[in-house]
Amino acid sequence: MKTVKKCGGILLAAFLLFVSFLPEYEGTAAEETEPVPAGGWIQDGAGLLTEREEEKLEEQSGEILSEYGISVVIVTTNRFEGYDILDWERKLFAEKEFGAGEDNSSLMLGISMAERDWGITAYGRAEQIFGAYGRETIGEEILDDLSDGDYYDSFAVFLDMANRFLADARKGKIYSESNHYRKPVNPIAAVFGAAAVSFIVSLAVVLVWKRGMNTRVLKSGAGDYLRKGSFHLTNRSDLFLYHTVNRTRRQKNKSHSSSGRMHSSGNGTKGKF
Amino acid sequence: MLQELARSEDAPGEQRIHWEERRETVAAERTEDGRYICPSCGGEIQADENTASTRCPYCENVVVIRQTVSGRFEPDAVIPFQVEADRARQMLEGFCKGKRLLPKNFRDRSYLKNLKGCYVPYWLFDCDVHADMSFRATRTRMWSDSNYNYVKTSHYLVNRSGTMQFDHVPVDGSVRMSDETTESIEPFDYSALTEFEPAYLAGYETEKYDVEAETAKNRADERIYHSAEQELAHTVIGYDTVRVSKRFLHAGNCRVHYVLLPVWLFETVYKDKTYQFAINGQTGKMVGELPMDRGAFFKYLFGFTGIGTVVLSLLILLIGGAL
Repeated sequence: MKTVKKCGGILLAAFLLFVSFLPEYEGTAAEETEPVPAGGWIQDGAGLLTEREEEKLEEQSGEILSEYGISVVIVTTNRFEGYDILDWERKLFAEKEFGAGEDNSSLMLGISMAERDWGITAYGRAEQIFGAYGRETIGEEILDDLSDGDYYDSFAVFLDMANRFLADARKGKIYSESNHYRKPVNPIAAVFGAAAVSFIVSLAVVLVWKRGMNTRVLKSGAGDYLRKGSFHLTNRSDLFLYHTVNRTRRQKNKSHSSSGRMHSSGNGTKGKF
Repeated sequence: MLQELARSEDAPGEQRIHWEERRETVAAERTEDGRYICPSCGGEIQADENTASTRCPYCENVVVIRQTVSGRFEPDAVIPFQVEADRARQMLEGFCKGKRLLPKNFRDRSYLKNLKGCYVPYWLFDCDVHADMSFRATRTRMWSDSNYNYVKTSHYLVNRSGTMQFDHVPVDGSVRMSDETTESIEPFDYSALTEFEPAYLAGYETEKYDVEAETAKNRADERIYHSAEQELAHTVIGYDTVRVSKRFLHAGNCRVHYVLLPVWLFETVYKDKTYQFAINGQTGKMVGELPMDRGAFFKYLFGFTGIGTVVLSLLILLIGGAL
């Protein structure tokens, strides 16, 4: 029991030491320098967000802008005006002057509820950072929440990923087909996952050792003592009795509407949700 | 035969082997003075009613107590020891080596002095078996059309009968020996069975049987029953599922032999539990159970878990780019 307590203490100390060295997981906020366009960076024309949610997203977008000098814009609408979603975003970008800095850098997510279209466009410096690969990667990440109607979650993921892409781009890592994006690892989840795997493997090892302490096995039969060639089959019959047929309706492949497909052209990527 | 088959259908698992012949036993007298004197030094020998041979604690001569190896206790045959004491000790030492969960007091090798050569009483059962079995078997075919999946299951009644002979199925005749231990060191090479002579017992401890053949045959029944069933079941092929529905087993021409077989035995008591370790004294096959230190078990479990957690976490975070 003493050994167990001692081991527990060592483990706890190792865990705390390890956790204390983990990097901070939050970014830092900075003051906003760009003028906010009329209606803000989050323009929820379709009314998908609560006021509080919109404020939080607005704040998050403002932090990205002040940190990287690139605006991240989310625009939703109920009434689509017959445009292609990417053309509509480009038109809106020019009209509302969403671009930040001298090169009008911006990343924009547009949602049209009437057609269930989504589109991501990048402008200025953001066009290099958010190439077709990057926009499609972000699109894949937000698509499930969009399809499920979890709009706030979807937009929060969009802003998180934009923030991560920009932070990595600052370190010189721009994601592309040749440099794939990997989802970040949650340190706490990593530690618990590693602990679970380690425990299972360790348990398997000590149980194998324990099993090696006892090699006694009760024999189930007396096959070793069957005289060779003494077995003779004296009767053999196989009688058909009846048969049954079970019929079950085949499940049709579920079609995922058109949300799974996306298309990139120029500075934009679009799809259905 | 039909009645027997009908009976077996009611309770297929309850069918017992019907032993037609039993070994002829001869009544023998045993002196009840409760004391044994060493013929070499005249010292009193510690022995109980089951002791057939033992070592005199004064002159260390091996003494054979004739009363326990004569009359109905006289073995039909014996297999002499072929594995020497030194080799048996080396084998036990080798088995204990590297066992990280062994209690600390096992590391001084003092346990080796507990290893002793014993002639263990065994009953050997011979019989001819006739087995009748019925199986319910199915074959399944599957196909589909544009709207439905179909599964067609054909049901069969499969009957098999067969005969076979079993020779020398061993069951130990000692209460002290666990079935796990004695069955694990099987098989013995019966070609080495030789007529019993008390001289074979010199240098080894011996006990007479204290489990009667009638009791021991229940275990032989189980093993023969299982093997006979397996033999017939192996002939049922070409089906997707097979289930035993009826079985009848009849054993005839049965014979029982009482023999002494050589076993190197190591027994120890750890935390009120007796652990048995055995080496087949003829073939050298080694089996046994060693005590486990629970503290060591948890020490290694949590130690490995701790190290693994730190190493794996670092790897995951490094690969995941969080560090």
